[in-house]
Amino acid sequence: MPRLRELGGLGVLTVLWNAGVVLGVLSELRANDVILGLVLIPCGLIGAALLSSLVRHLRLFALREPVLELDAHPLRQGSVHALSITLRGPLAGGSVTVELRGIESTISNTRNAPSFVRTFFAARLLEGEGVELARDERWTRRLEVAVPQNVPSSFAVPGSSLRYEVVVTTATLGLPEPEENAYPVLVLPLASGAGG
Amino acid sequence: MAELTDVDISLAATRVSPGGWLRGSVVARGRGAVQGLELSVRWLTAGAGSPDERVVHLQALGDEAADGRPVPFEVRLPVTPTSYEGEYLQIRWLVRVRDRSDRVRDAPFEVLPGR
Repeated sequence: MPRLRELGGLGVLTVLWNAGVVLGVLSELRANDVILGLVLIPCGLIGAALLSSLVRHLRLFALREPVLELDAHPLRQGSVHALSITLRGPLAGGSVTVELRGIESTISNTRNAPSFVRTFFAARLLEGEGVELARDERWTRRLEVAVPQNVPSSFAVPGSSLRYEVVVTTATLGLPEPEENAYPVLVLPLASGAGG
Repeated sequence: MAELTDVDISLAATRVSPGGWLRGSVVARGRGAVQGLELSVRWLTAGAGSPDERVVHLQALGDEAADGRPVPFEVRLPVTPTSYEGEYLQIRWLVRVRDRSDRVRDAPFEVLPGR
């Protein structure tokens, strides 16, 4: 979700930039300067791009963050858990996808050594379900997530981590990119009292 | 670190469940060949990131081990982390015996659910 500050900054920049362009156009109409006219064309295009980005951010800002509920946390290896996703309108031409992802990442303290991130596990829980919601209308879907026994448990030290997240992706009509909301979850083993 | 060749570590199982018991014994070959033995159970990370290591159990083995008699040990393991062999990250468990001269002998094992 775009933050209010980001939205405000973009709004101010768009207004100032386009005001400059309008002033330039008015001046060009009076003076009929060829060079000024050539400069105004790319400036106008940038202004149009800023305006389009502002409209997109305003639409994203109107989207409400999905609510994720789990029957138990942390999740356990080899267990099936229930989860529910709730969306609130408005949502036009929406498509919802839910996924459990495992992400392996490393950070190197050595100068110039690269860091790595990769998805080592992905389970699709809901695939592109169409949702149309009016303002303040709610949509809730209950799902089951089976955590395999052979996935590693969540892990984090300064140099590396294995983390899991439930990712809710909402694609909305008119927005070029789907909106992703990630909810971190812990995956732990079922503790065993038996001997090894 | 130099290898401690005069000591054998035997494990009851090389795959242990998270939170399970790791059992084994340490025996020194040759009476008086090693002094001040210390046993530790630890995990360490390897791979692309900065390496990390944690000791989950540490005990002195005393004179018994130096006398050539097998010294049994039993350690309750934590639930996490589990062993992992990823592309950029590996988590490995091992039993390490160290002597007074800082020579070490390692015995790797796995911590994985399902057993």
